[in-house]
Amino acid sequence: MVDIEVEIAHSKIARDPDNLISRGLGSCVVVILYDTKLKIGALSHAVLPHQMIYENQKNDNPARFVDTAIDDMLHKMIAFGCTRRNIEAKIVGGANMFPGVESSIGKDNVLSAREKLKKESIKITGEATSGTVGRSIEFSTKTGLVAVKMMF
Amino acid sequence: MKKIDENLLRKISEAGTNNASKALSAMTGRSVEIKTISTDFVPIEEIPQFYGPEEVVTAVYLPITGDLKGCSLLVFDKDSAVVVADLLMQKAGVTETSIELYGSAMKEIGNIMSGSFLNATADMLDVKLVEGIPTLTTNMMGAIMNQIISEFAQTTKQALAIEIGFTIKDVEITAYLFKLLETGEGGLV
Repeated sequence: MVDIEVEIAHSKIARDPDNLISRGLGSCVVVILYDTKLKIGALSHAVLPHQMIYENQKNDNPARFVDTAIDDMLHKMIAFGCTRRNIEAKIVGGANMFPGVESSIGKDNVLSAREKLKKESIKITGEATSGTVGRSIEFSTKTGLVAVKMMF
Repeated sequence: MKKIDENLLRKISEAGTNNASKALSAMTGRSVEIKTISTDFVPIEEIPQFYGPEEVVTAVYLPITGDLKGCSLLVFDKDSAVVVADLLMQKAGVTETSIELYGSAMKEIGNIMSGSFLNATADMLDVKLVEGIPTLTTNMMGAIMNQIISEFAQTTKQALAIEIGFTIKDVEITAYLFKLLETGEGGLV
């Protein structure tokens, strides 16, 4: 059993019995997609809600944005033999570390995840979102469970 | 606007720590020595590695506006933050400190540290920089940087990471001051 770390603006895929881990989540949103029959899971740690075009930036990293990250994970999982019907989602994060400072990025990230998953007809079966506290998470492809660590 | 090179960086750091030492010593009536241990430019996504993404830290965030936009972040690990606040407030005649007082003390320290470096930067680069109100948070380092990366990733690729050593009454504490300033066309960094 291997622990696979997924850093900010990255996305990884794993199968039973490996774990997908992401630490120090703040306003970012982690979306976990899991095929319950094949026990294959994907986790992306996205920073911004929607893909945006900036003049001097090449957006070649789909994992950076919530919506393209979900697209990317779905493509990869399906390529591995997963079926949409068996895929469920869990979302974690979207907090605001600086209450008082005008920032809706956490909320926007969560909203984007909900919208995209609804569009793709993927059910959200669990979530740990918003608030003002950072989180670390560990997802088991063996059990399909997410363990969340918070300190406050 | 001048471009930053190593020489300029050293001058800014020295001026910054000198100003901060004087200000904190004056504020507390106690001898506070602050020195720059190292300065480096790092990609903002690598900042959490200075502490570990899960390490709980106490950070003071200050927005920067003016000719350049950005922010300052002064970070202590959670235990050091309490020690620093305690040491600095003892002289002020406070023997029992409440969490609120820690908060005020930390914000003031953030103000002074950031302000000192900001003034030095503004002087040496010949730009106008204005500091906003400090916000305090005690949270996982990675979580704090998540939000800062979201806000600044489009305009700022690198941050200035200054390792600072505080010596207060024979106690030595290390902290980091991160400064993010948008790079823009002129190429600050």
